[in-house]
Amino acid sequence: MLAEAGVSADEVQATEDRLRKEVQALAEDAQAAPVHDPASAWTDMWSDGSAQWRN
Amino acid sequence: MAKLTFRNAVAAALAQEMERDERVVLIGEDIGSGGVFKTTTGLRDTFGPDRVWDTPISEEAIIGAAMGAAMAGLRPVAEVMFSDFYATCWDLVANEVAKARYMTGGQVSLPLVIRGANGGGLGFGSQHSQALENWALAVPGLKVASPSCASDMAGLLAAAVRDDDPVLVFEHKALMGSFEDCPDGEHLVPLGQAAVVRDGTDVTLVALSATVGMCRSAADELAGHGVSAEVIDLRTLVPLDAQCVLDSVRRTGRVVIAEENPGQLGWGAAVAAILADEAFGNLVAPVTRVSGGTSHCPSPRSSSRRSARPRNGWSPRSPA
Repeated sequence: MLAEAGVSADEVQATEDRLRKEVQALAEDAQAAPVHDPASAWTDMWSDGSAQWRN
Repeated sequence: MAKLTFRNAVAAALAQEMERDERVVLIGEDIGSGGVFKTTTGLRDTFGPDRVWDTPISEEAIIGAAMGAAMAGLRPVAEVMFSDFYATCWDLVANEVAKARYMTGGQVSLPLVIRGANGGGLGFGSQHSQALENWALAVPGLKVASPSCASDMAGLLAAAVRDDDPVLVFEHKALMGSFEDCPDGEHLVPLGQAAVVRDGTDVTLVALSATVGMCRSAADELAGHGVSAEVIDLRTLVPLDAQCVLDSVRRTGRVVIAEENPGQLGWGAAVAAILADEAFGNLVAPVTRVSGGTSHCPSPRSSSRRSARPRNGWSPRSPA
């Protein structure tokens, strides 16, 4: 489809290479980062406690 | 005190909130002319067509537009003419409206009310007569109110409009013409606060919406037999004031749950489960549920068959 749209094979390969490098760099950053505090597992899960449906 | 019908209480609460906050807008079918149940009478004349939006017959369009308006900063009150029609827009209600706050980590709130006429017993047939609070109860992220009288109708609806999360308000058709003295001035009934509408010592009757009146009548009848029945109006299923029910049942030791929806997994099942978990040791008799039964047709068109339903002729001796 990309070829039919006029995108060359070199452009496709260059895009793929760039994205692979970006993903690889992000993965390495994540693996090198410290393990999160378990307490942060609840962060942004629910903002105001409304999930408590009963008293 | 002003004497208001249930339907006029809807309009009064909406007018109160529209007057207070210009972000409150209405959207629904025929609401500009008052709606099929005349619950929005006069509001377009008072607040104009920019705040009272009539729509084509499409519940998906109504809920989708209301959701978008809520995300953009308005506080819409959408009307689904009959709660049965939630079936046509349930993807939006259950998958989008209910989950927006969860899925955005709290970044997006939906201050959105959806109102709908609910319940049976008036001969509207099986597709316009269901009591469907339990549908909403099954979806985390939705608050559920189902008032039993004009005063609560006004107060709960106003509280729902001020809530920052989506609230579904079920308005029982059989109560539309009932009337009651309502407080003058600003009136709010907090969501999640049940009411003990009759004190008693021998048995607790737990009710919602139209079954509150039935339980009051049953309590009167029981009193003639020397039985003191306490009647609790839950008012809202989410948040559920379970503590009110637990406190009562721990005193009386007996409980009958009266619900209009079909018995299989109605809201009474959730209440019964809480009682089994947390008040089993206080019970001196099994938890009893009186429900709309398990018939395929939730409300027969035939008046003779309808009269056999729990709504009419219901008594505490009726089987679940």
